[in-house]
Amino acid sequence: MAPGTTDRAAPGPSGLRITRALARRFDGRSETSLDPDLRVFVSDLVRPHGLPLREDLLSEGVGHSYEELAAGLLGEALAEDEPVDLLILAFDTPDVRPGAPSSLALSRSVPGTPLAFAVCDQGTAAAFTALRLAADHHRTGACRRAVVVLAEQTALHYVPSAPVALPERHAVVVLVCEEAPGAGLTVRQRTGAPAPEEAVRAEAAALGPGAEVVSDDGLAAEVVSVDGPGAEAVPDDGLAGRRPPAQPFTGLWATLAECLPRWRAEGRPVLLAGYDRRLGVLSTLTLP
Amino acid sequence: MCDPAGVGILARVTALEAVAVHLPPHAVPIEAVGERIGLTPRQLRLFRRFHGLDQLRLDPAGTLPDLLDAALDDLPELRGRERDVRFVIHARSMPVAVPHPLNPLHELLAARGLGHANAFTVTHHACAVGLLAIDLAGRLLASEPDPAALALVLAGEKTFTRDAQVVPETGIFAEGAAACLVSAAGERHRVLSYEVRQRPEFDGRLAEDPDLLARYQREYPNVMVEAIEAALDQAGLDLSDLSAILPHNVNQASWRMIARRIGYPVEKVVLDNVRSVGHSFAADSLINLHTATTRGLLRRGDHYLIAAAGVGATFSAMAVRY
Repeated sequence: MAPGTTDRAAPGPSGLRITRALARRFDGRSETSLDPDLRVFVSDLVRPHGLPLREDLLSEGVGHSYEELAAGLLGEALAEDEPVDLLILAFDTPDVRPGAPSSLALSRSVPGTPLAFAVCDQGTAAAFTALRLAADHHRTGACRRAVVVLAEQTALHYVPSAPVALPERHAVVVLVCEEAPGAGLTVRQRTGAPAPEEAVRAEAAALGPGAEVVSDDGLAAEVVSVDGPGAEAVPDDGLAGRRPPAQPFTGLWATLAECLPRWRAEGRPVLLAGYDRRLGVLSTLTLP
Repeated sequence: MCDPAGVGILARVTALEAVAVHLPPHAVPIEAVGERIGLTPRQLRLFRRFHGLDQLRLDPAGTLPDLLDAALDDLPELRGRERDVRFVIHARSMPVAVPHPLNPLHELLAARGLGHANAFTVTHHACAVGLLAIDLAGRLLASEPDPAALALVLAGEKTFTRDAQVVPETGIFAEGAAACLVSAAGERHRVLSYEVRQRPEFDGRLAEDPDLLARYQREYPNVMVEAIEAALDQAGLDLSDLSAILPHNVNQASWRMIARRIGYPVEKVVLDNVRSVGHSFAADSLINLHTATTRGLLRRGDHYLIAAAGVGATFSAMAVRY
């Protein structure tokens, strides 16, 4: 294995599969955006960095909480008789309740008593890391059903130190992952890959004819129209292969939610690829 | 969790290869901090006389990466093995520590020759998140084909806002930091079990909700004991098998009460750092492990238990064999 590459081992007799994916975008705001604690927190947060507050957003009460956004979708995603062992929240932009353990709160919206936690500080790669951790919990016998929650909200209550893509709308994606016979999902991540598009093309080719390949904005456009051996060019007849909407964190996964039922029905393997240009992290997800 | 004992954690190795600690040289009496953050004399008396707090290690001029970097400076076992580090996990109590999109963790790693590693932060377990990070490191390494593969767990935070300065009527935060190398093949400090109990009903503003605070304080020892007993059961150990309990450094009173409750000698609960260091978020367990090993409180083959609780609320315990 090349230095800098972390690749998971071959799948065992059963794997973890994404069996349902739900995506939703939201308008509106959370009442917690007017909580005086938010102003205290962000004031203390930016002070050492000399960044100005967005007084307009703080006084208007703009922004949403991941708990409020995701709770309803979790209720739709899981039946009462489907207990969850693991709930992982992944995010990039901060919650409007930045100090709150939202993943624990969300664990009350699913059946069972899952271990809940959150991953962050990895840009768009955090979504892939959450799935990887879910698969590793399954592999090590700690989980048969996991829920990965991906969330982003629009408001940053200070002026960032560098230009940053913020989502146009609040959005949540819920990925229900369940144990199933055969190979499960596979996540590969590498930091500092010199040619990320080539790496994605190679992975796509390995999946064989008919593979669906979807990538995020971090990769060059041509990566989704794979003409190399074994991979099929993606026709511009639907969401597949198109640039995701202006939802930097959840857009790729909303595409998955939209298309997964069709791809499953057609028996197509799927490759999702994301490249966080800021951190140089390439992540891929293979769904057999 | 499903079937954690049979096919899970006991069927793989999670070993703590090396632990390094950075304690900022600046030791401040709790009264000095209390005055700055608005604690009343009565609250400070409670912290000193009842909870057993004394001084806090702080680094007023230092940044978050300064803390973590200093811990790495004291980890000679890392040198020359940087390319073996596949994962770096920052175990962080506060979900947000710097303004978005700054990412000092990745900048630090790049400067230390660790820029190739898959690095992220794990959070939402508050001060119990260090145990989660160790467990995640073990699970990630279990999928690595290279037996030399390592994970690096970092812990340490700045006391930059009130929620990162004080837990009402419970503890005051400090800025100790720690770094821990984790492997899937090491012989020492092998993790035998990890148990978590979560009580999201205690998420809220403890400082402004006396009823919530009272319920949390009432339930706290019960749930902590439940997690400890579950970790011992999963590891096949009894309390009498433990040479030490390594707590989080929130205060002495709660751990004295828990020790009495479970019938464990309080002198074998490593509480020294509560007075001399303060509650350094998720770094406490590793700081206390460092203390226990350097002072000879633990010897090869000894069993010990790491235990921690975090607001929100998470209660975790991990049994380990040295």
